[in-house]
Amino acid sequence: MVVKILVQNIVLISIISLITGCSMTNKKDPDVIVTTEPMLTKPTEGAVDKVTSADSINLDKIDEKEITLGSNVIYYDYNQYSVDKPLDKKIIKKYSEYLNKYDEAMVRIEGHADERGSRAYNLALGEKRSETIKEIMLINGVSKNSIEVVSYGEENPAVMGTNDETHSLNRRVEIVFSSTGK
Amino acid sequence: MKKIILLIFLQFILFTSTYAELIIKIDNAEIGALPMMIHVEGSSKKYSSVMFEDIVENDLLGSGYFNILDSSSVKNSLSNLNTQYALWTLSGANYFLKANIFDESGNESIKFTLHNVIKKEVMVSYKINLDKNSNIRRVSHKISNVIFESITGIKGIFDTKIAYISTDKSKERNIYKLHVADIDGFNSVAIYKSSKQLMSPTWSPKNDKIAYVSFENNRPEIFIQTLATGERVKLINGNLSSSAPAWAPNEKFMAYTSSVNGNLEIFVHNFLTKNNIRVTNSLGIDTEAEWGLKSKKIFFTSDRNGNPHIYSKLFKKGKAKRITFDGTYNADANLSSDGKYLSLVHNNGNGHKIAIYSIKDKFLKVISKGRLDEAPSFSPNGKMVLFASKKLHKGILVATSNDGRIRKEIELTGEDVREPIWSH
Repeated sequence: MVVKILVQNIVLISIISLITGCSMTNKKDPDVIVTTEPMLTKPTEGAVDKVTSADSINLDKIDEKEITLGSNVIYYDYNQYSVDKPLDKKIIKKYSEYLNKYDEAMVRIEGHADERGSRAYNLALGEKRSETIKEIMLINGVSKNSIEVVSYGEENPAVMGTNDETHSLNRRVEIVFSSTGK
Repeated sequence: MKKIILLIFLQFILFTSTYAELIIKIDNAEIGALPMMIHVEGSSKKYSSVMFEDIVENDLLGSGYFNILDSSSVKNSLSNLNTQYALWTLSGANYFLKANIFDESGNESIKFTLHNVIKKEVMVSYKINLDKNSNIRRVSHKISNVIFESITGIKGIFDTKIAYISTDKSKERNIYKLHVADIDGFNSVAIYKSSKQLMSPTWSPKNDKIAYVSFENNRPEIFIQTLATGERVKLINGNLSSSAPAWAPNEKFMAYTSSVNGNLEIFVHNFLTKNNIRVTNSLGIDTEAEWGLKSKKIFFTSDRNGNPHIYSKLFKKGKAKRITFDGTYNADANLSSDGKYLSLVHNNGNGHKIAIYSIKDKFLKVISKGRLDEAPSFSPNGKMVLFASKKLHKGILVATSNDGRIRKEIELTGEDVREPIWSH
């Protein structure tokens, strides 16, 4: 067994050495054509080409919370509102931790349902989905003043269409940062 | 099946000032329909016989109970004031509505007589005075009601109204409109418009106000609007979300849904005391309250046993009792005016359809064929159900008789229509 591992390691080291060795020794590849012409030619008279400098490109800083928190959408089975999937629990946990860390942050938990069934029931279903997430966040120590809950029922589908796939994408809760202060 | 298509051009004075076209299609079962003739004679300064005849004919034909015959075969006898039953029998009609418009020294009136041609007797005869403020459509619907009730024994519904929500998606932002219209689709008025969602319209017991849910404050809230004045009042002050309003028949209470500790519960607002009483208490969803006739009991949708089903409960005391057991989904119950039936949204694995449930017999009967049907409400006489359906992914309204004899589709060009509710 030990012999086998040793042999494997020797082979691996030999391959790595071969690759790195090749890259060191073959600096000048005979197939590479080296041009001696200057890259910038003198502009013809009257024509002015602007050279874009990298300095003129603006870098918009991405809000930290969007990077650190990742997905903000939780999906549900038909007529369901419990949060069972580990990935969904992780999303709620991340948002809870963020809200606990940044006192001024505030989220709006927006509940949605698919188009099937009664509109008023779907409004209640969306609200129950949002309220369930709010309850978990409260258990995680988030202040209730940091959480706003609203349901749109079936009115704001994420995708249009009447099939199982679109329905499953529309049964969701979106956690969004609210612009309104506490 | 006989098909009638009415195109009604309505100018909605809206943000757009464009014309919206209301299309009404009627599938009428001719088999079993009673053969009938209608003839209106005479005219006055303001009213013509053709106007009355057309409206009454559309009403009665659209009821599904009558087949209107061409009266030209007996036209020679029509202007004769005498009854000529022997001749009228030849037309094949069982009933003959004969009316005359009079203009006697400026006093305008319409007299109408319903004849039973088979029995050779007059069933009813009335006179209606017409003044300058008379609405020809209202007068005609009144005549239709009298004729319908005289022959069938069932209360006519031709002068009733519907409320519904439409969405205009042609602009950058959706425009939601709350409409009130006559049941034949005429006189449609958008009584409230918003760029935020509107839903769940419901009539007050006297049909003079409409309660509905508006998202104008970025959450669902119940507003009450008086039809005559346009005055709007929010039901509950503050920042509370509230939805699914239901007016008690005695006008003292409004039931609604709101959340408590993460659960959706039903509350009752007392208009006099302004108090809000919690009615239900369960984990999960309780919503879509519907009052019993005596304003003491509430029917509602609950998922307390897993799937949504209809339950009932006295609003001041007692435990909830489960009403429906068929299928996997029963919601949005609407009680018939005699208190015997619930219309509801039902699913037994074959899509969401409209069903009628007999409370006494515990028997459920599916009456619609769509897969996305919803928002049922009974006509005031309990013989028809109005609901929302989808046609080529577009929201339309459908009115169908409980026995399936007649089906009317109401469509608004360029706009989705939904959540219809029949007046009382």
